[in-house]
Amino acid sequence: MSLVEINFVSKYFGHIKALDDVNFSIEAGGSFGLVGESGSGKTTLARLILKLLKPSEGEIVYDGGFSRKDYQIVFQNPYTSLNPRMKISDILREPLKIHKIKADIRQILSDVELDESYINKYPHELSGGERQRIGIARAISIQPKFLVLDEPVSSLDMTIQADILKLIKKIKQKFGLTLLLIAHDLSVVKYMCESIAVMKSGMIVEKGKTEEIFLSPQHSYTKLLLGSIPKLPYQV
Amino acid sequence: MTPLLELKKLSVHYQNNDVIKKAVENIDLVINEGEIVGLVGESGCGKSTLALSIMRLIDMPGKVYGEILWNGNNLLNLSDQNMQRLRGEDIAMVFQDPFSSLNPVFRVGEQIAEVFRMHKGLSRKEAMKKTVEILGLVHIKDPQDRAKDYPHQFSGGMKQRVAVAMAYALSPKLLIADEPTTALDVTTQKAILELLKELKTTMLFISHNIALVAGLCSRIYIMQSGRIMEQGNPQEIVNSPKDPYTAKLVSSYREISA
Repeated sequence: MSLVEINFVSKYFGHIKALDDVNFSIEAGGSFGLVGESGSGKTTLARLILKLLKPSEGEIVYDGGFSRKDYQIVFQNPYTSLNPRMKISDILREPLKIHKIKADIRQILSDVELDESYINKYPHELSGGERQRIGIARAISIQPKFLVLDEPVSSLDMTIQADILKLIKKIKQKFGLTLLLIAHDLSVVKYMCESIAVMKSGMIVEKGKTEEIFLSPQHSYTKLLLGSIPKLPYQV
Repeated sequence: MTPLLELKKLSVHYQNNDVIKKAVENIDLVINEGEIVGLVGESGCGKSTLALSIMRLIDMPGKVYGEILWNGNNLLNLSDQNMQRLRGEDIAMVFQDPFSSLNPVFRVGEQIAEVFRMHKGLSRKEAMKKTVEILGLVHIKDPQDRAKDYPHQFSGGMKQRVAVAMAYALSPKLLIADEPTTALDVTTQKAILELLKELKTTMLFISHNIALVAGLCSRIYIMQSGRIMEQGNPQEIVNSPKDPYTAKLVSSYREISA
């Protein structure tokens, strides 16, 4: 059963076509990966799904209807997505206040494997990885159904990327979330998602099960993308 | 044989009142002619500081200690004038972000031509002729016309080609490439790597990406917190890392890209 259905959606900004007849659905409880290079329309699509933008054509259907509380996002850059003047506790309390939910900040922090010593800190006291954990904590604090992760690890170091991706997997399991993971890095999507769609110039050029696409990519652009990933040589 | 570049006990310290920050500490590093040497480490480990110190671009309150031997001569003892000549002619650098390393208010051609005019004393006309040649060399189509464009009219990959052209303009003996593909898409990254390989210049290739470096370089240095943790050929580094940090770098990559 699909949680979100994107039905032949196009989006224009002036005369520029940012999305062109995009059509796919995201299974409830699944992890869907959206892959493409900069400017391909990934983030525009995410904003449409979150109702931050309206489609020019087509429609997006949500199982059980749309509510802001159920559809949350983790942003790419943990340095700009946290308010530098707010303490971590206030950052985490804000969505709870807006949605009138009572929750224990300590519990939310522990969900992202941070201890209570972070409560009174400011974002600048945290490393990139820790900040991204706060970004995740803020998104899941109100227990959404659906989480968009827009390039959640692309601005982090490789060793930290692995930790954050593992955390996201764990959280998905614990809260029964449905994920839409946006990434330009195919290996990240392969590690996280069972289905993927490959975007180029606002169009989906290929979609399907991750395994199948990696095993036998059909579209020339998918082949080009796969061929461009630096592979670790000399693997035993 | 004297190495082309040899760093001996190189340290870069930043002093602020009584606090000394050691950005680079006691580094020994050798680059022989013809080699592509990789320097791998994560953000903040001192990779770029190391690169800047070789070019003598560390400003106060930063202080550089040790020796930077270029063909056996210590660059730290060179006069400013000679150093200025050496930059570009002997050692040149390609920076990470092609969006900020080009001047947005000058035409691309003028920026490259400046290199020829300053270093070679060429006239505007001669310099522009050389510029068009070098743009062609880095595979910019219609170089004659594109030289008249401004950086914003170029894509990220093309801007980085321009930056490579600028660095390569005077055929330097050593190219320092500091994360030259990090800001680019994967397909573009591949194209820029091919271009760098084509130049066949001795290179210090700095990156956080162990796979990229292992595929490109003949020797790799691993850096953490300002120090070199380990060095070796790619096979040794990838298959039998001695340092735990190297092992973590390799295993993180392997885990995600498995």
